[in-house]
Amino acid sequence: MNDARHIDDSVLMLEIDGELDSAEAAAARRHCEACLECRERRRLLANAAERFDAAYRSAFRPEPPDASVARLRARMADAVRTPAGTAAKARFATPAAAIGAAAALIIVVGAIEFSGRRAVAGPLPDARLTPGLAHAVSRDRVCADNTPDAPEIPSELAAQVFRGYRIDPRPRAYEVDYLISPSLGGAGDIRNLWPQPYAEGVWTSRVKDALEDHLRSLVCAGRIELAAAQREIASDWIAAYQKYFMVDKPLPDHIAFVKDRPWE
Amino acid sequence: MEAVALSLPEPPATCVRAAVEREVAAIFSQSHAPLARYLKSVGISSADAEEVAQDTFMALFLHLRAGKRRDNLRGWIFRTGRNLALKRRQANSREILADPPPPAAGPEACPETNAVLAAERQRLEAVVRALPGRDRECLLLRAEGLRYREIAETLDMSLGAVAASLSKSFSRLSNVSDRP
Ligand SMILES: [Zn+2]
Repeated sequence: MNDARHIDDSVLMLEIDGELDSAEAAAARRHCEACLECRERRRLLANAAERFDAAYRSAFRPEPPDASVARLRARMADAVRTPAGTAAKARFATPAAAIGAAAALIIVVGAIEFSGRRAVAGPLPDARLTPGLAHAVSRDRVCADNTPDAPEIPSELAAQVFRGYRIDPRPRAYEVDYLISPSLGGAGDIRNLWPQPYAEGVWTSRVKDALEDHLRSLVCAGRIELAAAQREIASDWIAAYQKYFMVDKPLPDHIAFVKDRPWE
Repeated sequence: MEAVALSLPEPPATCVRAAVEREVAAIFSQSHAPLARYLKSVGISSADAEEVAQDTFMALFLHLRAGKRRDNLRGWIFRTGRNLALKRRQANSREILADPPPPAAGPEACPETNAVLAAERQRLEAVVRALPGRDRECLLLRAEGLRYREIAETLDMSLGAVAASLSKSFSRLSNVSDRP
């Protein structure tokens, strides 16, 4: 048999690696039995693949992943223990003492990148009005245990926030929220506060709480820099959520219906 | 015999989560080393590869917990790991202190007992290093035991393109490795 059409190298490769279905594989083998050229090409490919695999495996350094598995298990258990933002506010609140000492040192986080956005209050703040502001606190401070609750936002400050956004605060329509959460060193400053609407789709403050919770645990585990966490949450917290939870939409158990800090 | 329809109560959420945790830990034990080796070849350090592998399997945990698709999970894992590694490499290159490591041809070298294999490996590595990035990645993913559809998912290529890349590389390597 001397087919005009020889077998393509990529089909030979599929056959060598058992990637063809049985009928295709049988046809390829039949052709190779009859065709010296294809048989030789198949031999060279198979030989190269075999030698490459052997050389590759010879370089393996066996690494028992016991410690790695233990670490992953701990992280999974942690993610289960802190499902949503329910306890987040109480546990991950402002290190108030640190802020008292460092009140003069504050950092505008997201001012430059965001200049021309819409001037409405939505799930994302207007970056011109709310660029994000954090206290110059260390990671150790942020991660210290037994931190006090997030400070209440004084009503006069909240009123300023509403004025800045030209919003007439209807009762229970908005919650004034920190952009960079106090749990990540965020400041109780007008540049770090925005009116977050209650009825704005799935990107609720609960979902943001879950992100803050997660980012803080990454910061405290030394996985990401505190400044990076602040930057990401300030520039686009929804994008940060999508990135860190690897999802497009909020996870079901991050969505909750009751707001924990209603503004009336 | 007739099948009996049973109406079982839904398992409690904690059981589901525990089952997912066990499943992820099992997949992790199997795939952790291959993934970490592959991630290093993408151009990040061993320490970063370990971190990215951890993050990848945490993402897998959330993925499975959310009841998302389970077909081609190994492809999903390697693709997720690859994306995270590329992001990390990019972030590292923006930092001043970062030293961008050259993409390795394969797993890191270790004291070699078999001199013939060592010499062979050096020859192969030289060829592998000269391959275009995507071809090299196909080769390493295959060497880590991934099926073609898993490689295709990882690198967002068609299965045919994976086969073409591999056959091209092995044809090139055969000039090297076919020597006695
Ligand atoms: Zn032929």
